[in-house]
Amino acid sequence: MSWNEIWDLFIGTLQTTGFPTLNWQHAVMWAIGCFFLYMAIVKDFEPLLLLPIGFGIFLVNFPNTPLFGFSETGHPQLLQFFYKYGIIWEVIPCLIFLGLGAMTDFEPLIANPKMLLIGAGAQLGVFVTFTGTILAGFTIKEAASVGIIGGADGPTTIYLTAKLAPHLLSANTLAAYSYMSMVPIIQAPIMRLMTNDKERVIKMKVLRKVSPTEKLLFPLICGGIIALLVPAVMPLMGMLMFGNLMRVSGVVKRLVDTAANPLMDIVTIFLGLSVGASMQAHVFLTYKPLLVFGLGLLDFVVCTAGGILTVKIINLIVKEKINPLIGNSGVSALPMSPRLSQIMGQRYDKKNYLLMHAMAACLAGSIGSPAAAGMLLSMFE
Amino acid sequence: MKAVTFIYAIFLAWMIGILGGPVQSRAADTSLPSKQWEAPVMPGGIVVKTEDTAVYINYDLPYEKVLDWYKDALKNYKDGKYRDWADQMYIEDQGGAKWHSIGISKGGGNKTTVKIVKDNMTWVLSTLLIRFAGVFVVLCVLWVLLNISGAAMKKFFPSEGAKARAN
Repeated sequence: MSWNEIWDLFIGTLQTTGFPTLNWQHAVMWAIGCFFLYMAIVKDFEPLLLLPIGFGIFLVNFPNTPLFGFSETGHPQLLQFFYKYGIIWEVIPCLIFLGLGAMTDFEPLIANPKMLLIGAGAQLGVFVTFTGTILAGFTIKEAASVGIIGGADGPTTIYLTAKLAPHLLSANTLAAYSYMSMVPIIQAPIMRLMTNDKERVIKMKVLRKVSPTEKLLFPLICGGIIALLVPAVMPLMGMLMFGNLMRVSGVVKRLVDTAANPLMDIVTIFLGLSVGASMQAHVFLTYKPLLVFGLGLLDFVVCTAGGILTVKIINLIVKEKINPLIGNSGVSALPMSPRLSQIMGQRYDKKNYLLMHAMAACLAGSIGSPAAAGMLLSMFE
Repeated sequence: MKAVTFIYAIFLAWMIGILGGPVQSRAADTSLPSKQWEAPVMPGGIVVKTEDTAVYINYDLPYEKVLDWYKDALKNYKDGKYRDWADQMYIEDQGGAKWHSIGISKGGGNKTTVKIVKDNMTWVLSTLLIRFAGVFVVLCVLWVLLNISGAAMKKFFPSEGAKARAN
Protein backbone atom coordinates (compact mmCIF):
# COMPACT_ATOMS: atom_id res chain seq x y z
CA MET A 1 0.00 0.00 0.00
CA SER A 2 1.49 3.35 -1.09
CA TRP A 3 1.44 6.59 0.90
CA ASN A 4 -1.02 8.00 -1.61
CA GLU A 5 -3.44 5.16 -0.95
CA ILE A 6 -3.10 5.61 2.82
CA TRP A 7 -3.69 9.35 2.40
CA ASP A 8 -6.79 8.72 0.25
CA LEU A 9 -8.08 6.27 2.83
CA PHE A 10 -7.53 8.85 5.56
CA ILE A 11 -9.28 11.58 3.56
CA GLY A 12 -12.12 9.19 2.72
CA THR A 13 -12.58 8.37 6.40
CA LEU A 14 -12.44 12.07 7.30
CA GLN A 15 -15.16 12.81 4.76
CA THR A 16 -17.57 10.51 6.63
CA THR A 17 -17.13 12.52 9.85
CA GLY A 18 -18.80 15.81 10.58
CA PHE A 19 -15.62 17.91 10.46
CA PRO A 20 -15.45 18.88 6.77
CA THR A 21 -18.90 20.51 6.80
CA LEU A 22 -18.81 22.15 10.23
CA ASN A 23 -19.43 25.88 10.17
CA TRP A 24 -20.01 28.78 12.56
CA GLN A 25 -23.78 28.37 12.41
CA HIS A 26 -23.50 24.96 14.05
CA ALA A 27 -21.47 26.51 16.85
CA VAL A 28 -24.14 29.19 17.39
CA MET A 29 -26.82 26.51 17.64
CA TRP A 30 -24.74 24.48 20.14
CA ALA A 31 -24.50 27.63 22.24
CA ILE A 32 -28.28 28.10 22.04
CA GLY A 33 -28.87 24.44 22.93
CA CYS A 34 -26.48 24.66 25.88
CA PHE A 35 -28.18 27.86 27.01
CA PHE A 36 -31.51 26.04 27.20
CA LEU A 37 -29.88 23.15 29.05
CA TYR A 38 -28.35 25.66 31.48
CA MET A 39 -31.70 27.36 32.05
CA ALA A 40 -33.39 23.98 32.62
CA ILE A 41 -30.76 22.33 34.83
CA VAL A 42 -29.21 25.21 36.73
CA LYS A 43 -32.02 27.75 36.83
CA ASP A 44 -34.89 25.22 36.98
CA PHE A 45 -36.66 27.24 34.27
CA GLU A 46 -39.41 25.08 32.65
CA PRO A 47 -37.07 22.03 32.84
CA LEU A 48 -39.66 19.54 31.59
CA LEU A 49 -39.67 21.27 28.25
CA LEU A 50 -36.40 23.16 27.99
CA LEU A 51 -34.22 20.13 28.75
CA PRO A 52 -35.46 17.99 25.85
CA ILE A 53 -35.62 21.07 23.58
CA GLY A 54 -32.06 22.05 24.47
CA PHE A 55 -30.72 18.57 23.87
CA GLY A 56 -32.72 18.26 20.64
CA ILE A 57 -31.09 21.48 19.37
CA PHE A 58 -27.67 20.19 20.38
CA LEU A 59 -28.14 16.80 18.70
CA VAL A 60 -29.34 17.91 15.28
CA ASN A 61 -26.80 20.67 14.79
CA PHE A 62 -23.95 18.36 13.96
CA PRO A 63 -23.38 17.70 10.27
CA ASN A 64 -24.15 14.27 8.82
CA THR A 65 -26.12 13.05 11.84
CA PRO A 66 -28.94 10.78 10.61
CA LEU A 67 -31.49 12.20 13.04
CA PHE A 68 -33.76 14.74 11.41
CA GLY A 69 -33.68 13.90 7.73
CA PHE A 70 -34.93 11.04 5.61
CA SER A 71 -33.08 7.82 4.84
CA GLU A 72 -32.06 6.89 1.28
CA THR A 73 -35.21 4.78 1.10
CA GLY A 74 -37.31 7.78 2.11
CA HIS A 75 -38.05 6.76 5.68
CA PRO A 76 -37.99 9.47 8.33
CA GLN A 77 -35.01 9.32 10.66
CA LEU A 78 -35.58 9.04 14.43
CA LEU A 79 -36.33 12.64 15.42
CA GLN A 80 -37.95 13.34 12.05
CA PHE A 81 -40.25 10.43 12.84
CA PHE A 82 -41.34 12.02 16.13
CA TYR A 83 -41.68 15.39 14.41
CA LYS A 84 -43.62 14.13 11.43
CA TYR A 85 -46.08 11.90 13.22
CA GLY A 86 -46.22 13.82 16.48
CA ILE A 87 -46.27 17.44 15.40
CA ILE A 88 -46.92 17.73 11.67
CA TRP A 89 -49.75 15.24 12.07
CA GLU A 90 -50.87 17.30 15.11
CA VAL A 91 -51.05 14.32 17.45
CA ILE A 92 -48.90 15.64 20.31
CA PRO A 93 -50.70 18.97 20.97
CA CYS A 94 -54.02 17.11 21.09
CA LEU A 95 -52.66 14.50 23.50
CA ILE A 96 -51.35 17.31 25.71
CA PHE A 97 -54.84 18.78 25.73
CA LEU A 98 -56.19 15.37 26.74
CA GLY A 99 -53.80 15.34 29.70
CA LEU A 100 -54.64 18.94 30.58
CA GLY A 101 -58.35 18.11 30.53
CA ALA A 102 -57.73 15.20 32.87
CA MET A 103 -55.80 17.47 35.24
CA THR A 104 -58.07 20.53 35.18
CA ASP A 105 -60.93 21.31 37.50
CA PHE A 106 -63.22 23.78 35.72
CA GLU A 107 -65.24 24.47 38.91
CA PRO A 108 -64.16 28.14 39.30
CA LEU A 109 -65.25 28.88 35.74
CA ILE A 110 -68.56 27.02 36.02
CA ALA A 111 -69.28 28.89 39.25
CA ASN A 112 -68.59 32.25 37.61
CA PRO A 113 -69.07 31.95 33.83
CA LYS A 114 -68.86 35.76 33.49
CA MET A 115 -65.11 35.21 33.49
CA LEU A 116 -65.40 33.82 29.97
CA LEU A 117 -65.51 37.42 28.76
CA ILE A 118 -62.06 38.04 30.23
CA GLY A 119 -60.80 34.99 28.38
CA ALA A 120 -62.17 36.47 25.16
CA GLY A 121 -60.86 39.99 25.83
CA ALA A 122 -57.39 38.68 26.51
CA GLN A 123 -57.20 37.46 22.92
CA LEU A 124 -56.89 41.11 21.79
CA GLY A 125 -53.13 40.75 21.36
CA VAL A 126 -53.56 37.77 19.06
CA PHE A 127 -55.36 39.94 16.56
CA VAL A 128 -53.32 43.13 17.06
CA THR A 129 -50.07 41.21 16.60
CA PHE A 130 -51.45 39.54 13.50
CA THR A 131 -51.64 43.00 11.91
CA GLY A 132 -48.20 44.01 13.18
CA THR A 133 -46.68 40.80 11.91
CA ILE A 134 -48.06 41.36 8.41
CA LEU A 135 -46.61 44.88 8.47
CA ALA A 136 -43.26 43.35 9.44
CA GLY A 137 -43.27 41.41 6.17
CA PHE A 138 -44.62 38.02 7.21
CA THR A 139 -47.19 36.15 5.13
CA ILE A 140 -50.78 35.88 6.39
CA LYS A 141 -50.28 32.30 7.52
CA GLU A 142 -47.08 33.16 9.35
CA ALA A 143 -48.78 36.16 10.95
CA ALA A 144 -51.63 33.98 12.23
CA SER A 145 -49.19 31.51 13.75
CA VAL A 146 -47.17 34.27 15.44
CA GLY A 147 -50.32 36.01 16.67
CA ILE A 148 -51.45 33.05 18.73
CA ILE A 149 -48.31 33.22 20.90
CA GLY A 150 -49.95 35.91 23.04
CA GLY A 151 -52.61 33.47 24.20
CA ALA A 152 -49.77 31.83 26.18
CA ASP A 153 -51.07 28.44 25.22
CA GLY A 154 -48.21 26.19 24.14
CA PRO A 155 -50.16 23.29 22.58
CA THR A 156 -52.47 25.66 20.68
CA THR A 157 -49.45 27.57 19.35
CA ILE A 158 -47.88 24.29 18.19
CA TYR A 159 -51.13 23.10 16.67
CA LEU A 160 -51.72 26.29 14.69
CA THR A 161 -48.10 26.75 13.64
CA ALA A 162 -47.75 23.14 12.48
CA LYS A 163 -50.78 23.71 10.27
CA LEU A 164 -49.94 27.15 8.92
CA ALA A 165 -46.21 27.84 9.14
CA PRO A 166 -44.22 24.74 10.16
CA HIS A 167 -40.92 26.50 9.46
CA LEU A 168 -41.66 28.84 12.41
CA LEU A 169 -42.56 26.01 14.77
CA SER A 170 -39.44 26.10 16.89
CA ALA A 171 -39.40 29.89 17.20
CA ASN A 172 -43.11 30.13 18.01
CA THR A 173 -43.03 27.29 20.53
CA LEU A 174 -40.00 28.69 22.30
CA ALA A 175 -41.48 32.18 22.36
CA ALA A 176 -44.81 30.88 23.74
CA TYR A 177 -43.23 28.84 26.54
CA SER A 178 -40.62 31.49 27.31
CA TYR A 179 -43.17 34.24 27.81
CA MET A 180 -45.34 31.92 29.90
CA SER A 181 -42.39 31.46 32.22
CA MET A 182 -41.76 35.19 32.36
CA VAL A 183 -45.27 36.04 33.53
CA PRO A 184 -44.18 37.90 36.69
CA ILE A 185 -41.66 40.00 34.78
CA ILE A 186 -43.94 40.89 31.86
CA GLN A 187 -47.38 41.07 33.43
CA ALA A 188 -46.74 42.74 36.80
CA PRO A 189 -45.72 46.18 35.42
CA ILE A 190 -48.73 46.20 33.06
CA MET A 191 -51.05 45.34 35.94
CA ARG A 192 -49.63 48.18 38.01
CA LEU A 193 -49.81 50.62 35.11
CA MET A 194 -53.42 49.86 34.25
CA THR A 195 -54.98 49.79 37.70
CA ASN A 196 -55.36 52.30 40.51
CA ASP A 197 -55.29 51.76 44.29
CA LYS A 198 -59.07 51.73 44.54
CA GLU A 199 -59.42 49.01 41.92
CA ARG A 200 -56.67 46.84 43.37
CA VAL A 201 -58.53 46.35 46.66
CA ILE A 202 -61.86 45.33 45.16
CA LYS A 203 -63.05 42.25 47.02
CA MET A 204 -64.92 39.58 45.09
CA LYS A 205 -67.60 37.25 46.44
CA VAL A 206 -66.59 33.73 47.39
CA LEU A 207 -67.47 31.40 44.51
CA ARG A 208 -70.50 29.16 44.87
CA LYS A 209 -70.12 25.40 45.06
CA VAL A 210 -70.76 23.55 41.84
CA SER A 211 -72.74 20.33 41.80
CA PRO A 212 -71.25 17.15 40.24
CA THR A 213 -73.93 17.14 37.53
CA GLU A 214 -72.97 20.66 36.45
CA LYS A 215 -69.36 19.56 36.22
CA LEU A 216 -70.46 16.58 34.16
CA LEU A 217 -72.49 18.78 31.83
CA PHE A 218 -69.64 21.27 31.27
CA PRO A 219 -67.50 19.20 28.84
CA LEU A 220 -70.63 18.29 26.88
CA ILE A 221 -71.88 21.89 26.63
CA CYS A 222 -68.46 23.39 25.95
CA GLY A 223 -67.49 20.66 23.49
CA GLY A 224 -70.81 21.02 21.68
CA ILE A 225 -70.57 24.81 21.39
CA ILE A 226 -67.01 24.77 20.12
CA ALA A 227 -67.85 21.98 17.66
CA LEU A 228 -70.69 24.05 16.25
CA LEU A 229 -69.04 27.47 16.20
CA VAL A 230 -65.33 26.80 15.61
CA PRO A 231 -65.07 23.22 14.37
CA ALA A 232 -61.50 23.83 13.17
CA VAL A 233 -60.14 23.44 16.72
CA MET A 234 -62.16 20.41 17.72
CA PRO A 235 -59.14 18.11 17.69
CA LEU A 236 -57.76 20.22 20.55
CA MET A 237 -60.96 21.08 22.36
CA GLY A 238 -62.45 17.63 21.86
CA MET A 239 -59.47 16.08 23.62
CA LEU A 240 -59.54 18.71 26.39
CA MET A 241 -63.20 18.06 27.03
CA PHE A 242 -62.78 14.28 26.80
CA GLY A 243 -59.99 14.40 29.38
CA ASN A 244 -62.18 16.53 31.61
CA LEU A 245 -65.19 14.27 31.18
CA MET A 246 -63.08 11.29 32.26
CA ARG A 247 -62.03 13.25 35.32
CA VAL A 248 -65.45 14.46 36.42
CA SER A 249 -67.20 11.17 35.65
CA GLY A 250 -65.23 9.54 38.44
CA VAL A 251 -65.60 6.10 36.89
CA VAL A 252 -62.31 5.81 34.97
CA LYS A 253 -59.70 6.77 37.55
CA ARG A 254 -57.05 4.60 35.89
CA LEU A 255 -57.53 6.33 32.54
CA VAL A 256 -57.44 9.76 34.19
CA ASP A 257 -54.23 8.84 35.96
CA THR A 258 -52.68 7.60 32.71
CA ALA A 259 -53.74 10.66 30.70
CA ALA A 260 -52.60 13.11 33.36
CA ASN A 261 -49.28 11.48 34.23
CA PRO A 262 -47.51 8.82 32.11
CA LEU A 263 -49.08 9.84 28.79
CA MET A 264 -48.40 13.51 29.47
CA ASP A 265 -44.77 12.71 30.32
CA ILE A 266 -44.29 10.62 27.18
CA VAL A 267 -45.69 13.25 24.83
CA THR A 268 -43.69 15.97 26.60
CA ILE A 269 -40.47 14.07 25.86
CA PHE A 270 -41.37 13.65 22.19
CA LEU A 271 -42.61 17.22 21.93
CA GLY A 272 -39.45 18.72 23.43
CA LEU A 273 -37.06 16.62 21.35
CA SER A 274 -39.00 17.23 18.13
CA VAL A 275 -39.25 20.99 18.64
CA GLY A 276 -35.56 21.17 19.52
CA ALA A 277 -34.67 19.05 16.50
CA SER A 278 -36.59 21.38 14.22
CA MET A 279 -34.19 24.18 15.20
CA GLN A 280 -31.55 23.42 12.64
CA ALA A 281 -29.10 26.24 11.94
CA HIS A 282 -30.18 26.89 8.37
CA VAL A 283 -33.84 27.18 9.45
CA PHE A 284 -33.44 29.03 12.74
CA LEU A 285 -30.69 31.53 12.01
CA THR A 286 -32.75 33.77 9.76
CA TYR A 287 -34.43 37.08 10.54
CA LYS A 288 -37.98 35.73 10.83
CA PRO A 289 -37.52 33.45 13.86
CA LEU A 290 -35.62 36.25 15.59
CA LEU A 291 -38.42 38.73 14.86
CA VAL A 292 -40.93 36.23 16.27
CA PHE A 293 -39.51 36.76 19.75
CA GLY A 294 -40.03 40.52 19.55
CA LEU A 295 -43.52 40.24 18.11
CA GLY A 296 -44.43 37.50 20.59
CA LEU A 297 -43.51 39.79 23.47
CA LEU A 298 -45.69 42.60 22.08
CA ASP A 299 -48.45 40.04 21.66
CA PHE A 300 -48.24 38.88 25.26
CA VAL A 301 -48.25 42.46 26.53
CA VAL A 302 -51.35 43.39 24.49
CA CYS A 303 -53.15 40.19 25.55
CA THR A 304 -52.49 41.04 29.20
CA ALA A 305 -53.70 44.60 28.65
CA GLY A 306 -56.74 43.25 26.78
CA GLY A 307 -57.74 41.12 29.76
CA ILE A 308 -57.45 44.03 32.18
CA LEU A 309 -59.31 46.41 29.84
CA THR A 310 -62.10 43.86 29.53
CA VAL A 311 -62.49 43.74 33.33
CA LYS A 312 -62.68 47.53 33.41
CA ILE A 313 -65.35 47.56 30.72
CA ILE A 314 -67.35 44.86 32.56
CA ASN A 315 -67.08 46.94 35.74
CA LEU A 316 -68.79 49.83 33.97
CA ILE A 317 -71.85 47.63 33.50
CA VAL A 318 -72.14 45.22 36.43
CA LYS A 319 -72.97 45.93 40.06
CA GLU A 320 -70.62 43.38 41.60
CA LYS A 321 -67.23 44.74 40.58
CA ILE A 322 -64.39 42.52 39.44
CA ASN A 323 -60.85 43.18 40.64
CA PRO A 324 -58.90 44.13 37.46
CA LEU A 325 -55.83 42.42 38.88
CA ILE A 326 -57.33 39.16 37.63
CA GLY A 327 -57.50 40.49 34.06
CA ASN A 328 -53.96 39.32 33.33
CA SER A 329 -55.10 35.74 33.92
CA GLY A 330 -57.23 35.87 30.79
CA VAL A 331 -54.17 34.53 28.98
CA SER A 332 -53.97 30.83 29.66
CA ALA A 333 -50.63 30.80 31.48
CA LEU A 334 -51.67 28.34 34.16
CA PRO A 335 -50.76 28.52 37.05
CA MET A 336 -48.36 31.46 36.75
CA SER A 337 -50.87 34.21 35.93
CA PRO A 338 -53.45 33.38 38.65
CA ARG A 339 -50.61 33.10 41.15
CA LEU A 340 -49.42 36.57 40.15
CA SER A 341 -52.96 37.96 40.52
CA GLN A 342 -53.14 36.51 44.04
CA ILE A 343 -49.72 37.90 45.04
CA MET A 344 -50.46 41.34 43.61
CA GLY A 345 -53.90 41.41 45.25
CA GLN A 346 -52.49 40.52 48.66
CA ARG A 347 -49.79 43.16 48.33
CA TYR A 348 -52.54 45.80 48.50
CA ASP A 349 -54.90 43.98 50.86
CA LYS A 350 -53.71 41.01 52.87
CA LYS A 351 -57.24 39.68 53.25
CA ASN A 352 -58.06 39.71 49.55
CA TYR A 353 -58.14 36.23 47.99
CA LEU A 354 -58.20 36.45 44.21
CA LEU A 355 -56.73 33.07 43.34
CA MET A 356 -59.91 31.18 42.48
CA HIS A 357 -61.34 34.12 40.51
CA ALA A 358 -58.09 34.41 38.60
CA MET A 359 -58.17 30.66 38.01
CA ALA A 360 -61.61 31.08 36.45
CA ALA A 361 -60.28 33.79 34.13
CA CYS A 362 -57.32 31.59 33.24
CA LEU A 363 -59.56 28.62 32.45
CA ALA A 364 -61.62 30.95 30.28
CA GLY A 365 -58.39 31.86 28.51
CA SER A 366 -57.66 28.20 27.93
CA ILE A 367 -60.94 28.04 26.00
CA GLY A 368 -60.56 31.52 24.44
CA SER A 369 -57.14 30.79 23.03
CA PRO A 370 -58.22 27.72 20.99
CA ALA A 371 -61.32 29.66 19.96
CA ALA A 372 -59.05 32.43 18.61
CA ALA A 373 -56.93 29.78 16.90
CA GLY A 374 -60.08 28.37 15.33
CA MET A 375 -61.04 31.82 14.07
CA LEU A 376 -57.62 32.23 12.49
CA LEU A 377 -57.69 28.73 11.01
CA SER A 378 -61.08 29.34 9.46
CA MET A 379 -59.51 32.13 7.39
CA PHE A 380 -57.66 29.50 5.41
CA GLU A 381 -60.43 26.97 4.92
CA MET B 1 -54.47 54.74 32.36
CA LYS B 2 -55.46 57.94 30.58
CA ALA B 3 -52.54 57.43 28.21
CA VAL B 4 -53.72 53.89 27.43
CA THR B 5 -57.25 55.13 26.77
CA PHE B 6 -55.83 57.87 24.54
CA ILE B 7 -53.75 55.38 22.51
CA TYR B 8 -56.75 53.06 22.27
CA ALA B 9 -58.88 55.95 20.98
CA ILE B 10 -56.27 56.83 18.34
CA PHE B 11 -56.10 53.17 17.32
CA LEU B 12 -59.88 53.02 16.96
CA ALA B 13 -59.98 56.29 15.03
CA TRP B 14 -57.26 55.00 12.70
CA MET B 15 -59.18 51.80 12.08
CA ILE B 16 -62.44 53.65 11.46
CA GLY B 17 -60.56 55.96 9.10
CA ILE B 18 -59.23 53.03 7.14
CA LEU B 19 -62.44 51.05 7.13
CA GLY B 20 -64.73 53.94 6.35
CA GLY B 21 -62.44 55.91 4.06
CA PRO B 22 -63.71 56.94 0.62
CA VAL B 23 -62.80 54.81 -2.37
CA GLN B 24 -61.20 56.84 -5.09
CA SER B 25 -62.21 55.81 -8.56
CA ARG B 26 -60.59 56.92 -11.77
CA ALA B 27 -61.62 56.86 -15.39
CA ALA B 28 -60.90 53.61 -17.20
CA ASP B 29 -57.39 53.12 -18.51
CA THR B 30 -57.54 50.80 -21.50
CA SER B 31 -53.87 49.75 -21.52
CA LEU B 32 -53.46 46.25 -20.12
CA PRO B 33 -50.29 45.37 -18.23
CA SER B 34 -49.09 41.75 -18.04
CA LYS B 35 -49.11 41.96 -14.24
CA GLN B 36 -51.09 44.02 -11.78
CA TRP B 37 -49.66 44.14 -8.23
CA GLU B 38 -47.73 41.02 -9.23
CA ALA B 39 -50.95 39.20 -10.13
CA PRO B 40 -51.09 37.75 -13.64
CA VAL B 41 -53.35 39.60 -16.04
CA MET B 42 -54.94 37.66 -18.87
CA PRO B 43 -54.29 39.39 -22.21
CA GLY B 44 -57.10 40.42 -24.51
CA GLY B 45 -59.24 42.32 -22.03
CA ILE B 46 -60.20 45.94 -21.54
CA VAL B 47 -59.66 47.76 -18.28
CA VAL B 48 -63.04 49.28 -17.47
CA LYS B 49 -62.41 50.74 -14.05
CA THR B 50 -59.44 51.40 -11.79
CA GLU B 51 -59.43 52.25 -8.13
CA ASP B 52 -56.57 52.71 -5.71
CA THR B 53 -56.94 49.13 -4.56
CA ALA B 54 -58.75 47.38 -7.41
CA VAL B 55 -58.78 46.97 -11.19
CA TYR B 56 -61.73 45.68 -13.24
CA ILE B 57 -61.04 44.04 -16.61
CA ASN B 58 -63.67 42.87 -19.07
CA TYR B 59 -63.19 39.96 -21.46
CA ASP B 60 -65.32 38.81 -24.38
CA LEU B 61 -64.82 35.24 -23.24
CA PRO B 62 -66.87 32.74 -21.22
CA TYR B 63 -66.10 32.26 -17.53
CA GLU B 64 -64.55 28.80 -18.02
CA LYS B 65 -61.93 30.06 -20.49
CA VAL B 66 -60.84 32.89 -18.20
CA LEU B 67 -60.74 30.56 -15.19
CA ASP B 68 -58.66 28.02 -17.12
CA TRP B 69 -56.17 30.73 -18.04
CA TYR B 70 -55.84 31.89 -14.43
CA LYS B 71 -55.53 28.33 -13.13
CA ASP B 72 -52.69 27.77 -15.59
CA ALA B 73 -51.04 31.11 -14.75
CA LEU B 74 -51.19 30.36 -11.02
CA LYS B 75 -50.38 26.66 -11.18
CA ASN B 76 -46.98 27.16 -9.54
CA TYR B 77 -48.32 29.54 -6.91
CA LYS B 78 -49.05 27.45 -3.83
CA ASP B 79 -50.57 30.20 -1.68
CA GLY B 80 -53.59 30.84 -3.89
CA LYS B 81 -56.86 29.63 -2.37
CA TYR B 82 -59.81 29.05 -4.73
CA ARG B 83 -63.24 29.81 -3.31
CA ASP B 84 -66.09 28.83 -5.60
CA TRP B 85 -68.86 31.32 -4.83
CA ALA B 86 -72.24 31.59 -6.54
CA ASP B 87 -71.42 34.80 -8.42
CA GLN B 88 -67.67 34.42 -8.90
CA MET B 89 -64.57 32.32 -8.48
CA TYR B 90 -62.62 34.10 -5.79
CA ILE B 91 -58.89 33.40 -5.78
CA GLU B 92 -57.40 34.63 -2.53
CA ASP B 93 -53.71 35.12 -1.86
CA GLN B 94 -52.67 33.56 1.43
CA GLY B 95 -48.99 34.19 0.88
CA GLY B 96 -46.94 37.35 0.72
CA ALA B 97 -47.95 38.62 -2.75
CA LYS B 98 -48.86 42.24 -3.39
CA TRP B 99 -52.31 41.28 -4.67
CA HIS B 100 -55.06 40.17 -2.32
CA SER B 101 -57.58 38.52 -4.62
CA ILE B 102 -58.65 37.83 -8.17
CA GLY B 103 -62.40 37.57 -8.69
CA ILE B 104 -63.69 36.02 -11.91
CA SER B 105 -67.38 36.74 -12.46
CA LYS B 106 -69.83 33.98 -13.36
CA GLY B 107 -73.05 33.90 -15.32
CA GLY B 108 -72.23 36.58 -17.87
CA GLY B 109 -72.34 34.31 -20.91
CA ASN B 110 -69.54 35.38 -23.21
CA LYS B 111 -68.70 38.38 -21.04
CA THR B 112 -66.51 37.91 -17.97
CA THR B 113 -65.21 40.51 -15.57
CA VAL B 114 -62.02 39.99 -13.61
CA LYS B 115 -61.47 42.07 -10.51
CA ILE B 116 -57.93 42.19 -9.15
CA VAL B 117 -57.66 43.59 -5.64
CA LYS B 118 -54.44 44.93 -4.15
CA ASP B 119 -53.25 43.66 -0.78
CA ASN B 120 -54.69 46.10 1.72
CA MET B 121 -54.95 46.71 5.42
CA THR B 122 -58.71 47.22 5.18
CA TRP B 123 -59.15 43.53 4.58
CA VAL B 124 -56.69 42.59 7.31
CA LEU B 125 -58.31 44.87 9.89
CA SER B 126 -61.89 44.06 9.03
CA THR B 127 -61.30 40.31 9.09
CA LEU B 128 -59.56 40.67 12.41
CA LEU B 129 -62.36 42.72 13.93
CA ILE B 130 -64.85 40.11 12.81
CA ARG B 131 -62.77 37.25 14.17
CA PHE B 132 -62.07 38.99 17.48
CA ALA B 133 -65.79 39.58 17.81
CA GLY B 134 -66.23 35.91 16.90
CA VAL B 135 -64.20 34.83 19.93
CA PHE B 136 -66.54 36.90 22.10
CA VAL B 137 -69.56 35.34 20.46
CA VAL B 138 -68.25 31.80 21.10
CA LEU B 139 -67.51 32.49 24.76
CA CYS B 140 -70.72 34.49 25.26
CA VAL B 141 -72.81 31.58 23.95
CA LEU B 142 -70.96 29.33 26.37
CA TRP B 143 -71.59 31.83 29.18
CA VAL B 144 -75.32 31.91 28.44
CA LEU B 145 -75.54 28.11 28.33
CA LEU B 146 -73.59 27.71 31.56
CA ASN B 147 -75.93 30.16 33.24
CA ILE B 148 -78.93 28.26 31.92
CA SER B 149 -77.55 24.90 33.03
CA GLY B 150 -76.67 26.36 36.44
CA ALA B 151 -80.19 27.76 36.87
CA ALA B 152 -81.74 24.51 35.67
CA MET B 153 -79.68 22.52 38.13
CA LYS B 154 -80.80 24.78 40.95
CA LYS B 155 -84.44 24.47 39.96
CA PHE B 156 -84.70 20.79 39.10
CA PHE B 157 -82.08 19.29 41.40
CA PRO B 158 -82.04 21.53 44.49
CA SER B 159 -80.82 18.66 46.66
CA GLU B 160 -77.63 18.37 44.57
CA GLY B 161 -76.85 22.03 45.12
CA ALA B 162 -77.27 21.61 48.85
CA LYS B 163 -75.04 18.54 48.77
CA ALA B 164 -72.35 20.46 46.88
CA ARG B 165 -72.53 23.31 49.41
CA ALA B 166 -72.26 20.85 52.27
CA ASN B 167 -69.14 19.34 50.69
